[in-house]
Amino acid sequence: MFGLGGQPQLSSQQKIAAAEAELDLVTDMFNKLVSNCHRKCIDMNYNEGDLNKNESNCLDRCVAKYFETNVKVGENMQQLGQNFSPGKF
Amino acid sequence: MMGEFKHPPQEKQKMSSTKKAGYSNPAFAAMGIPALRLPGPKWCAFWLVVGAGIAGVVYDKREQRRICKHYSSLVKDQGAAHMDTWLKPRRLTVFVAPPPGDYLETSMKVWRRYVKQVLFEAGLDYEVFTEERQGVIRHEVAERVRQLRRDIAAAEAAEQRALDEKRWLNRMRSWWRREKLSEEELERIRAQKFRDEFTYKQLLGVFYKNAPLREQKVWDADALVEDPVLAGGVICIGRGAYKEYIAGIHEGTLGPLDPPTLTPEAPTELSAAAEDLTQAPEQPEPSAAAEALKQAPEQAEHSPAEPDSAATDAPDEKSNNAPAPPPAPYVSPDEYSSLSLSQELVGDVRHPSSHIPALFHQPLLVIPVPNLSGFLQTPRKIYRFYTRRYYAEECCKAAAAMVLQTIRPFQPDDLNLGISEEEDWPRRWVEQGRERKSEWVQDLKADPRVIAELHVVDPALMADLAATMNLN
Repeated sequence: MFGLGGQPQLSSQQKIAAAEAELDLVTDMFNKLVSNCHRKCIDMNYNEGDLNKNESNCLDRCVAKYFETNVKVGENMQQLGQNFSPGKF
Repeated sequence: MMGEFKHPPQEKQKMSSTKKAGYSNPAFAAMGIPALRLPGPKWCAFWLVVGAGIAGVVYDKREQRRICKHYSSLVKDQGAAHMDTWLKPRRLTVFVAPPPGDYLETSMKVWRRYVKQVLFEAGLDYEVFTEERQGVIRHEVAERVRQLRRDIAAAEAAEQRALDEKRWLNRMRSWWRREKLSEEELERIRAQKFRDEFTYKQLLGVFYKNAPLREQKVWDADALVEDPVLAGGVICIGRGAYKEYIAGIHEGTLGPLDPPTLTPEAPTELSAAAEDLTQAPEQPEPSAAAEALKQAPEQAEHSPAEPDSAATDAPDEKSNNAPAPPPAPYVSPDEYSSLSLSQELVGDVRHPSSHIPALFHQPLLVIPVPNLSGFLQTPRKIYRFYTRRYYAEECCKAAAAMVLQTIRPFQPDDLNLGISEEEDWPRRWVEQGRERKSEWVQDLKADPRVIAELHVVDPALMADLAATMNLN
């Protein structure tokens, strides 16, 4: 469009499909994150219903690290994908 | 003849074996346990020395662990306390600077081993700011204060604007303008608004279909304290970090918001280094490299190869590779008394949107990093290695005091906090620093108006607190 259209025009069907795929991806990551950080931070004895300070701090850091790692890995994968040429590694 | 000659050695052997008779009894002998005997005097001495050396290390380490555990247990209750999900924990800011002539790792070890442990147990959040070069911490602190001043000014301006808009005439005018927006533009604005407000909270997790939880604003625990002195905290690890912190606070509160334009005719004492940097291209290269390292004599100390490699490079490449030196201070310590405290920073200063009290309200803790360098200091190094527990106690106690907030107002004497560390600074490094007008080796100057705002954490007050805790 106006000479700027690097991306092909998507129909609304395709847009919805792309959005669904993205939501799937995010949901998947979110579920993994929850299970990992739960395993790491929450005391399995469940003495209390509420979080205590140590647990909430731990969760906070865990989530931050998880996101950061995820972004970094994603960036690297994208770069790999761009530089990928069949037959060569 | 032969037998006679052979006799004496045999006798000698016999005599030595009788010397080493050792202890035995028939029961041992029956079980085949050989006679128990001490090794020779030389071996005894050897094992004694080795054993004493190892025992000293083990004892020291065990004591360190016990001390850290003791101070952790003092603050453990805080970590186990309930915390609401909409609350962010108290947040400390930690400035770490390397000791002169050494790497950052030396100071980080102190932080990791003794301080962090206690803070972790107490369930506090912390932000660690580290830097190898001189002046960066000062600039960071000053920039944070300046940013706060800018934010306060912007918030005031926005408030003024909102008041103006409330006026009837202005409201009419804006209504008139809004009417003229086309449908497309409206659509675009709505889309932008949706995108700005969109978070995955609306689609995922416990927030999904849980509007009250989603709408709950997240607050900092620091923002909720009434007395700003009880919010957050600043830990300076190393005397250098402390000096830079104090200079940064002064620069932020007393200095201008924008960097002053430097005039080559009248360079201030402290900005001389930056002046030289700007002139560097005109000078021969090796000296230019030396100038570039002026801000970081400690780097020059531990990486002597750097100036050479920098000198061989082309000047353009060098400026690309080396990180830019921190900006020169906006004000020099001599000007403090002639400057006025900025208007925004009177009374209880908080950030307009987050309501976190300003950095200079937060209590301050200084942890010295004693660090000897040089071969001739080896005996003192060994002595300190074996008595490290006293230092560990000092650090852990200070960290616990920070957690428990045993605070008193800043006194002028407190400028000497952690000054014991300066005795360890290598003499050559200090001389070099004087020549290069390093900020670290100059006397710390302070302005009474700024000092009046500061508070320090005093571990000595912990004893009283512990006594009252025991009574209760």
